[in-house]
Amino acid sequence: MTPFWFELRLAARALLRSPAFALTAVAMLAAGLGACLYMYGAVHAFLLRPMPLPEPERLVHLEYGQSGGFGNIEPTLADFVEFERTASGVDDLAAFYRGTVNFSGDGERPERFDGAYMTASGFAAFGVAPLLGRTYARSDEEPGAERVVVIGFQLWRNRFAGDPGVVGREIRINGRPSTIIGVMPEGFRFPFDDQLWVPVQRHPPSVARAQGVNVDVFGRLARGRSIDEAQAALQAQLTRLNEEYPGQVGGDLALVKPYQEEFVGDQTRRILTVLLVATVLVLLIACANVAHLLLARGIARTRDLAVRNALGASRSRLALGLAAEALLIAALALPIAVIGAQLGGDATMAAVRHGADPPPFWMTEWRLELSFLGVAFALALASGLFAGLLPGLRLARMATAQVMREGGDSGGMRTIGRVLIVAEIAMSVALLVAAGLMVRGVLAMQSFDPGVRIDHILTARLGVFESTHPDDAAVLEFQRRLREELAALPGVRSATLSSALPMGNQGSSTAIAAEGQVIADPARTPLAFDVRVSEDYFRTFEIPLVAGRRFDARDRPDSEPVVIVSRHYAERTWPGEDPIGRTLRLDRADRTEAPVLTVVGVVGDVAQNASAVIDRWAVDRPAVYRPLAQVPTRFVSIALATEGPPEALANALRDTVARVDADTPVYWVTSLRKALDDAMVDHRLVGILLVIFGLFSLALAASGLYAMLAFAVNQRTREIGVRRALGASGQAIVAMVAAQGFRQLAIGMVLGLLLALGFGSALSAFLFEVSGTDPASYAVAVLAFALVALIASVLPARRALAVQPMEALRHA
Amino acid sequence: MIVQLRQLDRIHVQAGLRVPVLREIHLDIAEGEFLSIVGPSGSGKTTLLNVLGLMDHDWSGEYWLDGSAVHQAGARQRQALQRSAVGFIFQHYHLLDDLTVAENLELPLSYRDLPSTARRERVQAALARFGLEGKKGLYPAQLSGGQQQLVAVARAVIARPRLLLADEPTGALHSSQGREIMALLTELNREGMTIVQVTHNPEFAALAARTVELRDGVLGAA
Repeated sequence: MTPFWFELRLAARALLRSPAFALTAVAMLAAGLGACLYMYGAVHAFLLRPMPLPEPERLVHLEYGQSGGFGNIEPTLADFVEFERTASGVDDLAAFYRGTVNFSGDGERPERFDGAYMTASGFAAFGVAPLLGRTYARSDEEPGAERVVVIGFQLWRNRFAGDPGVVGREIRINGRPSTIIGVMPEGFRFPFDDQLWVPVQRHPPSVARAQGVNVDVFGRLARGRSIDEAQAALQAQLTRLNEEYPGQVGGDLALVKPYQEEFVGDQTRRILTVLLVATVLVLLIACANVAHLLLARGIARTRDLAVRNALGASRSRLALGLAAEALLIAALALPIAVIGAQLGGDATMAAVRHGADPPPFWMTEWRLELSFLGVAFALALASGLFAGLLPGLRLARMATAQVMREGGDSGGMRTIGRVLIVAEIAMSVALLVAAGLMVRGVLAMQSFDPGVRIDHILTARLGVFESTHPDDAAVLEFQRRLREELAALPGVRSATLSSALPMGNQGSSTAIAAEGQVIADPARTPLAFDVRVSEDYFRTFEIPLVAGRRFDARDRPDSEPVVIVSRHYAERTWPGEDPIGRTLRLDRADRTEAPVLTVVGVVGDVAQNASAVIDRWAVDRPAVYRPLAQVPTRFVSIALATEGPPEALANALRDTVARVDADTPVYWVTSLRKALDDAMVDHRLVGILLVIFGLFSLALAASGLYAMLAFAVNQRTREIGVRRALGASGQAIVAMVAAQGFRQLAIGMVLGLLLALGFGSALSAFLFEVSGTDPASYAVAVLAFALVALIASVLPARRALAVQPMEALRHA
Repeated sequence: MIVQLRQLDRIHVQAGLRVPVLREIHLDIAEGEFLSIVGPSGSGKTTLLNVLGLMDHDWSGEYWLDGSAVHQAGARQRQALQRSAVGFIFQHYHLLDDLTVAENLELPLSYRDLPSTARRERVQAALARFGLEGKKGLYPAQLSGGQQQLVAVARAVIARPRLLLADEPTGALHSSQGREIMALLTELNREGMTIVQVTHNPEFAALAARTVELRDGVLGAA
């Protein structure tokens, strides 16, 4: 048996004989490791795990930026066609845009799916062959080509019961007859999280440029080419495009980046990093606590160590023995931590998948992979060594014959103990501050008044296509009938349709220029949310009318184009003047193509977009409302103001839509309250995690403080006895004990607050209406910690008070 | 000579004061000798034993152990020398409570990189020799004081040291148990082991071939 195994056996024996110690240490380390592994799993899923594709590192995303302005601008389909013609550096250049695909015509109820309108080259770029049939070809994209569709594995299994004869079946896609030509294999849901793939319609260049459809462009880096080279090639093409079509290209800077990075923003990276750092701190606190326990236990066993030393054990061998205990503790904690991380990860990913803006499918899968287990093992090993080696090496130094004889000097031990406690306090205070900041942010978010009624509103979305509703009149007629039928449902107080819901993700912004308004730089024309609404929109959402009138039957397709503006916009644009009757254009200040709109009303400010809540744009961001009758829109959201619980009317809503048009599926049926909660899921999740980490670190640090003071009282029993015998008051004894922890507490808190500033700065972009240096959060964290530290000190102090002088001196 | 001490001084520093514990010690111990060190409490007996056992290095002078110059040796060499040459018996047995009798015996062997089969054989032989076979699975707390010291003696000699140091080996035992332990030490000495014991007991001191006395750190004939 090697020395390591021998020591491991002895360590196991020692732990078995101290089950309370073993359980406490294992629980602490399991929680610390579990938290760390949980966050590593998330970081791995979002940032590290390669996409499940052949050679994922070659897949790149191409986009634009503007000099000195915005980035992340998607090219138009027309631009893509130009790139395709002259592409260099990227193979299988492809494009897609995502959209609703209404699936019907197979005898089942129509169903709405997220689908990808993708070029045929996309399949080649992803490098995955179909399971059945074929993928579509370039010729399927030409105008007039027979309509085809490729379906995903899940849809094939669920809707067609895995029928191998599905290829060649006729179905309806968005109301048009289409043929299923292929089934993709299980696990293929690219480019984002898609179940259906429909060819992009390639119109003649002039039409395509006029349509201005934006697409995600991607492809595979040509072998031997770097991202920089591909970017240089794209830049050359983009420069040429800008020269050829001045003012018609979205950007002037080319950007090529790994495909994966398109879907993980800086904010997500930052939050994941903050949370990972938080859990590393929790793990360090847990390790420090276990080290502390081992230290206290080691001091009690100094004699044994000295005996071993006398019997020939070297210092390193003694340290190995102590480290073996810590390693064993880590080994026992490891499976608990892995299971805990797995359960937490599954639950979190489920929450993220159901959030308002979920990431692509390959990022929301939590799998126990070999690399994850490798990291788990390495972390456990590192934790065991960290927790074991520090006390091990220190105790081994103490273990000399003199110690055995004279009892030794545990001053060095106490120093290490103090340093560990200071570190624990600092890390815990920092985590508490971070938790406090997030909690205040989430609370502010939840109590935020978006300017609309939130409760008792049922919402849904639907879209109609040219195949069934060929023109604006048909669309408007469908929407009129639908609204009337919905409004007539029992329990519905009012019904409305709109292009976007308040605080939803469907809204769009547009430039807005009032006539007569001086805008120095037309490129920086102000932006406003542009919402197209039916009658009763303002009544349904209880948005107050400030001036003028609401939309009504007067606002017809052929009547004067009108607009209702938000109060903030009106006050800022026409201060002290009556806005009614004023005119504006929804375009850049230097353009005149857009129609002139007459302001007929002013309504209360509303947070029109979910990101208004999150990005602190708040309600003062301008919004303009136009009547659906004048700006027909094929995709609309439904909102019903209900008398009772909104969910109770969900089926009635679905049935009504089916009654009006059996081929139009309705989706995202949910209450506005829930939709809003979903929009905040990321923030709440981060808040909850930081609170859990903060409280856990608080409990650990407090127990560490308690253990340190209790140990100190134990060590000083004789001294306390002598002091009491010499007349020391109870107060003086308590003060003596408390003073022992006070310095560490003070130093730890100061260091913790400094560390917290770093957290605050990293979180600031994610905090809603709370600054990263919010004094209240810092104060509450310090007070909370001080209170818990006080409680942790009271028990040892009481024990010190209970020391009877004669008793203490007799046993000393 | 297995041990040669020349002009050996040991000074303790306590509260900034230098207190001499051993002064100019000059001592030769022959191979196979049985030596008793006597003297009043605080005279430096245990310190001298610790120096002999290479547990204490803060001294000046010369110390030759089995032909090796300890005063010139580094920490590693000292440890190697200690492992190969020295065995210890303590007054309070100092058996490890968490380990069984057999494991306590195996412990010093595990520090000497012996293969596990060789370790097991030696433990088995020691258990047989010291009549401990029936107790090999017991923990120290399950043994009497005499039995514990018996295990401690077995543990001290299991690595076959050439110099056995015993610090008050009978100090915690009643007289009959003490005699048994002393008989065992005498037997080991007859087999050729060099033994140095520190004792307060004149009867047991007399069992050694030679006795020296320490008074205030100064060595003299008893």
